[in-house]
Amino acid sequence: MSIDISKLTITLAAKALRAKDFSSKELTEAVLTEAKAKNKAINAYAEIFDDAMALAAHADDMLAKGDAPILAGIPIAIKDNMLYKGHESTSGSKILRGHIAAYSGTAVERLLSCRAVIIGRTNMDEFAMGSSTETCSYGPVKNPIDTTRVPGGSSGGSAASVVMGGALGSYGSDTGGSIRQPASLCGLVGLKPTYGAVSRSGLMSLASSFDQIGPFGKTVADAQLLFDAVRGHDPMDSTTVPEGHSLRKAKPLGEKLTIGVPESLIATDGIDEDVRANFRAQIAALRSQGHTIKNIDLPLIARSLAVYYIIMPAEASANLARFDGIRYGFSKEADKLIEVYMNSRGEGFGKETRRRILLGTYVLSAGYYDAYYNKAVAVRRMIRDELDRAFESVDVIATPTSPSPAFKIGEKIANPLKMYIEDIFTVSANIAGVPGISVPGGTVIRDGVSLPVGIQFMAAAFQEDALFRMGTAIEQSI
Amino acid sequence: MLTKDDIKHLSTLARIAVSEAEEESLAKDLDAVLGYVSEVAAVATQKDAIPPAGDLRNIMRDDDDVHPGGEFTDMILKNAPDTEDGYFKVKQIF
Repeated sequence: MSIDISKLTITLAAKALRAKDFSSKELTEAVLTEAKAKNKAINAYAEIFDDAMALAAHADDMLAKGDAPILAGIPIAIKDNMLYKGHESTSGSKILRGHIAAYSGTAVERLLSCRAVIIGRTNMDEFAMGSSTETCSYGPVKNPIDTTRVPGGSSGGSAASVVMGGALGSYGSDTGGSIRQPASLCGLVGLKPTYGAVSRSGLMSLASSFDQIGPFGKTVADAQLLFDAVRGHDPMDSTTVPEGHSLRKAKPLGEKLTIGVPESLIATDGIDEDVRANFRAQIAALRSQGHTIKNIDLPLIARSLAVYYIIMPAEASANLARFDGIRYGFSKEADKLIEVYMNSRGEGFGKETRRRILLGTYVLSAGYYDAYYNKAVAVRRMIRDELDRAFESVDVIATPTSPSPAFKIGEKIANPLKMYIEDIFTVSANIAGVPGISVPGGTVIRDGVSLPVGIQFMAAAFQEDALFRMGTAIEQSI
Repeated sequence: MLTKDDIKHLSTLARIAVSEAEEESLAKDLDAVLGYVSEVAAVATQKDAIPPAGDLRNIMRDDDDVHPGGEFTDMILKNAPDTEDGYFKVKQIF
């Protein structure tokens, strides 16, 4: 039988599996065929696993018995930095080529236990450092909507895999915008959960105080299903929070929500005019649905990006010290031990990774530590307090997700600062540890191609429900 | 302004070999980023801010549920470039 993957959501597929319209094996076969056919041009996958059909068979057994979890039998993709026991995982880096995971991360374990069908691992910027998926050691990922353009990053492969029909949903990781920005550039829903909502156990660390695993879906409902499957307390990650035990209390939501708009941030130079116009149109639509729009003043939020590009490289330089040519993967033979370290890391890491490690080393080094790292930590605390205060008077904060639609491959890669600006709207959620979602919010025309742009909502810690409600409101207005 | 010598020093601290040719471009890139992030200096802050990573609380657990020794050794060592008798093999340090 033929299954049209392009319009198939997880919600619909789960119903069809239960109605026996098709089996998970038939669905997985259809998705695998599509994934393999499209991957040559798009490069979303680093590897399509050869054991997916076996998982589908298991899922069919569970579905036949009834009472299967909602994701049972659903083909999904995981990012190449999520450990999956017995499978290669490289974080898009040459230094980890051939590395086989010795255990599965908690998110992956939970997917397996609900019999989701893991199709493959998706390409990403090396160690999740980037906003275009051009720094991947397996080559750049193309945006399926326009293959001359980037899919965003760093989870560009996870976004592209869903758009090209090679998975019904996927997971990425978001340290500064790496789920929401590609969701925006590819026309998907992408969620960065509250810090502590999803276990980081088995996620290769970039910057541990920012990293969160989160989903990509075609709809808000799909993203919510994918989030619910992996969320929750995990003894393997002490930053995860037991249900209802957060120290950060959010106020209950009313029937209509109050939406804060930080006008001064949105007026910043360098934001595409069409993106701004689209954003205004979405806000107007929400107002006409009866939600209250409120201009909010967040003087410190504009400093988020500077704070981020101090703390993130600092944490990355420490986390990536483990790649030493001794314990994993790529190793360069030399006479002395220190040369083994230096040459393995010098050749094994790509350019952006080397740049960020050196930057992190600089801001942590004697003489600069107080001026950069300690200062950034203090400002981070103030930004978090500023956002927590804002959420006392508004339910969500809305901004565009990214300052521009999908850009051309090669357009920003030579200029790190230009690339970093991509994170301007997304990074505050990571700084403050609050959740953020990107939802498709209109299109702009570039070179005759209609490109999607996202609208982002942030909410108070553990208020993902407010984000799903806003996302659904946007879906209804389009 | 970062100099080539600064990059040499950082590359030694970070244990990353940097080619002569790359020192200049790295100095330029790092200068640009440091120039940008220096704007944090303009924010008046209090000393001893509490790092805001998640909910901070003590996490205690009993030291039980210990796996048998060596259970994961083979799997882990399989990823290493050089091993001997269940150990990572490393060059002489001094």
